[in-house]
Amino acid sequence: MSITNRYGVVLLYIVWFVLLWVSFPSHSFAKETKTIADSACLKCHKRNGQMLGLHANEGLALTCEDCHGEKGKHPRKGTAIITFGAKSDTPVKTQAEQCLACHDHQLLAVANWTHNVHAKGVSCGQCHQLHPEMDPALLLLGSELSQSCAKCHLTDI
Amino acid sequence: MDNSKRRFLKGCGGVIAGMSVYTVTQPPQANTAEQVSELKYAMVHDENLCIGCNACEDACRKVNNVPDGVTRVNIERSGPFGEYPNQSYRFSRHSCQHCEAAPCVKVCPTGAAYIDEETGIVAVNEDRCVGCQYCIAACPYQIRFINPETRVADKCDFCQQTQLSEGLLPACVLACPTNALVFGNLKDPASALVKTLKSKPTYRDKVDLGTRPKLFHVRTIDGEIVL
Ligand code: SF4
Ligand code: SF4
Ligand code: SF4
Repeated sequence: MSITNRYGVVLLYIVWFVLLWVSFPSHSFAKETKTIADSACLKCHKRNGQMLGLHANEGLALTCEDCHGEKGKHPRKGTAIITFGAKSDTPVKTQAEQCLACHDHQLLAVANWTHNVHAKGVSCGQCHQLHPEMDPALLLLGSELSQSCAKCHLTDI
Repeated sequence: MDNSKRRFLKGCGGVIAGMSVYTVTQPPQANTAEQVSELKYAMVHDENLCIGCNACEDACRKVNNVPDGVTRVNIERSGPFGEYPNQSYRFSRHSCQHCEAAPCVKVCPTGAAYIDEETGIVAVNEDRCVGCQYCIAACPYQIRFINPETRVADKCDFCQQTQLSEGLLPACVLACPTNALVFGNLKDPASALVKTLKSKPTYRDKVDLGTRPKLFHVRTIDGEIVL
């Protein structure tokens, strides 16, 4: 390799790294949660409505209603507000559909095979939480993960 | 002295010498060979109850100090079968089968691989193992490995040292949330093991090899029919 050639390669590397660096967004997502935190819903839901997770990212431009449905008559009785989790009154199918509107079930299966076997009968919110900064289900490793299965699958002798 | 007498005496000497060498080298476990034990441990893995959670492997690793990268038990998952959202998987347990006619024991040159006559457990005497890996090559189920920490052959021993000696069930059996694993005495008709074997159809792996394994499986009844 000639000297000029070698410098050429080094220069290419430098240019490539600079481009790579520039292509990353410079601000963290804590700042980006601003829009959703200013939502009118937060006037009442200050405590249980705080949205700190990835889904609050400004790039996604999600609003509370995107997941929880139209406000309608809420907070009066008989509204169609969608709630999530094991204790929710919303049917499991409706809950899952909200997530599957964006999340492709095939990609979910690649991430973890257990998505497939829970596709009917279990809602996403029974394992996952979007509001905290980090979804606790993603932090489970090794025996913590297998023990989380036992929470539902435990059979007494 | 004529030739035949001489040969006879020589032969006698050889036999006596051979016997004494044999008594010196025979493994201590072989002493009880004559007694017929009332214990014979075996295990059933019900593939219909198994959910593939891996709690068994995690518990085994913890209790038996199995380092990362190797394992005494592996739940092999196949699938998905069927169309989304009606999909299912199959789970099959891979671990020592505790063969009655264990090839690993037959090939072991030092007697480290042995069958405990009292319980039928196939185990490894760590002090005798030289790590030659003959047993690993001989095991048709490919479940033996060299423990990277102890550097000797390792495999499931039904928790002989860690749990059974304390009067406890094997760690994997205790950890299984769905009771997919049943462990017990084959010779006790009242045991949960024998009851399971008599109430559910089971199969064993590679029986045509004549290894007479003691790990039974209840076949998955789900998804497509396998011929
Ligand atoms: S399964 Fe393999 S290691 Fe276990 S007894 Fe049989 S031959 Fe030996
Ligand atoms: S019986 Fe004991 S050694 Fe064997 S797989 Fe289960 S926990 Fe591991
Ligand atoms: S602990 Fe039980 S249910 Fe879970 S993978 Fe093992 S055998 Fe299957």
